Amino acid sequence: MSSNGAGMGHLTRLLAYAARLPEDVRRYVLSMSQAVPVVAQYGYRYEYLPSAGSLGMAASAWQPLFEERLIETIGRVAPDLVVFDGTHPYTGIDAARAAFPDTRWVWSRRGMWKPGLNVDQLAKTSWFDEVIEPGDLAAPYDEGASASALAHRVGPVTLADRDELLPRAEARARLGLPADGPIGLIALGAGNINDTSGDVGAAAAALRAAGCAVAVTQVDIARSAVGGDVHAVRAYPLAPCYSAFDVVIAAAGYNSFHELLRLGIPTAFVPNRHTSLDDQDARARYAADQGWSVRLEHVTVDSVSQALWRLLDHGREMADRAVAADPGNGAAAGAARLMEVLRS
Amino acid sequence: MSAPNWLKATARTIRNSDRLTSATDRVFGAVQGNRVLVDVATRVFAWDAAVPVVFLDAGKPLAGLAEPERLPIIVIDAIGAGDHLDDVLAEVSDLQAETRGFRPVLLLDQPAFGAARAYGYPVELVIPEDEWDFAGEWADYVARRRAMMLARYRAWTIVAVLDGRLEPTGRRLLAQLADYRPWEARKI
Repeated sequence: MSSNGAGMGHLTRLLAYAARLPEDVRRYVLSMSQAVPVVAQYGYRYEYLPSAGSLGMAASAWQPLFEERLIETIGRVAPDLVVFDGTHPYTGIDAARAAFPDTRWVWSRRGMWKPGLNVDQLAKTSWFDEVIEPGDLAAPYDEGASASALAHRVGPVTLADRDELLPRAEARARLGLPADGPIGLIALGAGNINDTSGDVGAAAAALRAAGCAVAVTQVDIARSAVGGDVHAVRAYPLAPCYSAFDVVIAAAGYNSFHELLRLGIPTAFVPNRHTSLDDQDARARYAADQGWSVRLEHVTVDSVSQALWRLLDHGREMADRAVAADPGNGAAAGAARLMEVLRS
Repeated sequence: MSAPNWLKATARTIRNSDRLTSATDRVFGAVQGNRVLVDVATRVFAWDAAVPVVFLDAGKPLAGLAEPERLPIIVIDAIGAGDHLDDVLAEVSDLQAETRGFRPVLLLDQPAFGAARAYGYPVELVIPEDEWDFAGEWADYVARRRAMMLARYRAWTIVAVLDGRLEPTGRRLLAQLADYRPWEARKI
């Protein structure tokens, strides 16, 4: 069960655990993300529960809807164990737990909360039989409330591992990208690619100036590009295709950050400071301080150009340093813990 | 009776605040059973009592409209619309733009989130009938979801889709909302 975050992180972590569960375990996904249909490609069934944000509904009005839908779903699916991936366990989970006392509940709770925020949510630990914390490569810079809270900690959880990276030519073919020449990927969310005063436009201008073709993860951005020279890449999971790119300019959300570093892709991270809780700036700072990647505090054509020259010259060494520091995928350990809770 | 402007402003402030809404919910709970107090509370917090005030995205056709939370919510039951869904959404959008009188929430049996997002419409999704393998009847499961939507979204009514279009009776009802505007009670 996943909440609805800014990206695909919650859903992707659940898929990472699910892929490493024993084959005879039936997986069923309940998600507040409208990206949930992607789980069907793994053979999992799913249901969608709209979030308060997607409805434009006040939280106080949405909560009874959530509770009713959750209890109906749990009653019908009758799971032995529910894994909730999110940083805010919604009121209603407690009621579902009380309604079905035989069902085990696990909270998959990533760290790197902004300092002083979300502290009250830790009290909801009592709703769960276990808390699993997917590790963060930037954990030494984690000053959030969850950093010192009790949890079963595992390594960074990603869906893909380095040995799943496709050969470059195959990745480019799969994404419909040109076979030759350097390509840079911009994964910064929405933006106007023709406006160099914005992040996406500035990054695109810098890539072009550096002689790189431009790829983006948003179809609308590619469609609006003047000149039509921007490639839209739409694949899930995208990680195995990261080998298609010479350089990536990405936000520092949990999923992108760990996939790009664990898979050894030269990257400039742009921390999204508008997240409600995720301390992306700390994550990007730590990686830069370790020499794993470049951190862009402000995105301008000049700042991205400087980052690109550095990455095109030294990006391989930086990415190799990150790979050398990788403790390994925590998804298997997370899945193993889920099975222990299930059998306890 | 229409509430004075200052009271409307206060009520609006309360409805926009989760914390204050939660407090007023407790007040409503405490006065249940007292006809006079419930009547006062209703006039203050839902002054156009024919239409409950609910915050829910109104959709792009009504972008910029003041106080959209006063418009009735209509469940558009597009289960079975299949390949006609785009036509149905266009029909709903046109009708909404013409009347400026309702807010749709879609009930779908296909994950057409992108199509719904293009209009800014909220979505509830049910399991398609041909994938149903739970105990009980699929029809009962869907009926329960419809009941939930009427209750939790405080929807006015459900308009179904028939042969790839809004069913005629429901369509006529929605069309009436162009000039039958119960949320503007004084003007009726």
